[in-house]
Amino acid sequence: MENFNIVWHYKDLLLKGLGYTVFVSVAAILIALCVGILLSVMRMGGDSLPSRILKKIVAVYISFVRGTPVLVQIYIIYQALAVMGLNLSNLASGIIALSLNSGGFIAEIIRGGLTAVPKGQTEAARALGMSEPKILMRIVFPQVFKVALPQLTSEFINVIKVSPMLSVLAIVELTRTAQRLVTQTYINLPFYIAIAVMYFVICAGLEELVKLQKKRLERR
Amino acid sequence: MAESRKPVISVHDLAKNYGELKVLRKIDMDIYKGEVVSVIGPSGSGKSTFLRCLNYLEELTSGEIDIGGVSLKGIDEDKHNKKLNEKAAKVIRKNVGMVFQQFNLWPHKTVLENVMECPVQVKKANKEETKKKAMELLARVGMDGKADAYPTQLSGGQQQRVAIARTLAMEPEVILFDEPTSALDPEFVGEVLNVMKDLAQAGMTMIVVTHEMGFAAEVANRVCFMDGGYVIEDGTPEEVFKHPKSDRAKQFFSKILNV
Repeated sequence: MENFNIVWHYKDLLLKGLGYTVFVSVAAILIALCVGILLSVMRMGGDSLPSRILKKIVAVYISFVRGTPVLVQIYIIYQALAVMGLNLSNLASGIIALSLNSGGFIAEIIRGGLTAVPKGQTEAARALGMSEPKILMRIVFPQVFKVALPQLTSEFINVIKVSPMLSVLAIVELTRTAQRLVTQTYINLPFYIAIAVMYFVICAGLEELVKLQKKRLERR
Repeated sequence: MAESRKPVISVHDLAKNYGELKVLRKIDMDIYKGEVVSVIGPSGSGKSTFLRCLNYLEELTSGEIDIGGVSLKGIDEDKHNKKLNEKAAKVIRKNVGMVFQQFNLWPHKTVLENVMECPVQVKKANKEETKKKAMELLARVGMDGKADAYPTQLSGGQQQRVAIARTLAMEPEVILFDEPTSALDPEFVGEVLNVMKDLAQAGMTMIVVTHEMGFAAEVANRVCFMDGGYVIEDGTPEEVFKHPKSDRAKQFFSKILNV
């Protein structure tokens, strides 16, 4: 019990770490959504040569993202951005690495969702004169996101759970904060239990929120 | 019909292939303002493909379609026609509406939103005025009571009537109907045909691919019988139904009219 009081003593630092975790995750999720949508649009083209090349690029990108460890991806992105001469903070590099990773998975989720929108729906929009970007924005994606919401939520939770890996870039998010406190105080289990609870509350909270939203959508 | 007038739609030598399969071989047809044309024929005769070519839901293999001063051209003659066709389609789709067999209402939008979507998004029309007009159109098809319902809450007949209102909202000169009653339970066919009858009486130019011979005989003032990618009969309902010239048409009518 004594040890748990020490956890409470460091609550401000832990909450600050949590703040970083939430910030990094939310930023990464938002950028990942854009990346996922972009990748999906890139592979919607027909059989012309440029479309085929684009599709190949997306396919290679996604198999790379899926087939290599996140940690390795984080190192590569961090170093690659530096080599490219972009003078970004570790935080920005970390967010970019997470977004590029998650974007690949989101593109796969969107691919599944696209099959839920019958071809006739886009045809009707086209026949009524709607432009292709408008059709995607107003007819296709709203429906895709509705059916893909459960999988997207898992992906978002995944981003939160992968975010501790950013500690390798010396980003002091929740897990890194706990590690530091452990080395300072020589007390470990209470800190790790505390952050586990904090992660759980965030992830479970997100899941509940989505469930509520889903119920609201389904009432239609 | 009066030959001196300019046709609304003019089709020359239209052909359409899917790879090796020749769906449309050679179609020539002029359609004039106010005409109600029923396109009939056996499955696989190319009726729906023909209709879909008219507002460029299908690429043309060869030949030409002129609508309101712009034309679609076959891509076999020149690959660059694809780009030109895409441009022309934007103009054509403003004049030519389409109603589908499967209704194709957008399920994430209410009935009213379905009708308002394109005037607001494509024509950038004023929202309040569009809403007023949309309600008038829904009243015209007898669906104003369901303005706030979602499509999945409606019967097939109701959905199709909404789809017709959605097409009318864009104020097209011509409406293409692709088997508008084929996906309906029998008890809902009448309500959709009645809406189409009203449109015809109001002078709308309509091309209707249909299996409803009753509608073709009663409402259409012109009937085209298609088979094997050709139009092989083209005349008044009286001429085509009572005195078909071709054996194919005679066979077809003897089969379906005896049922």
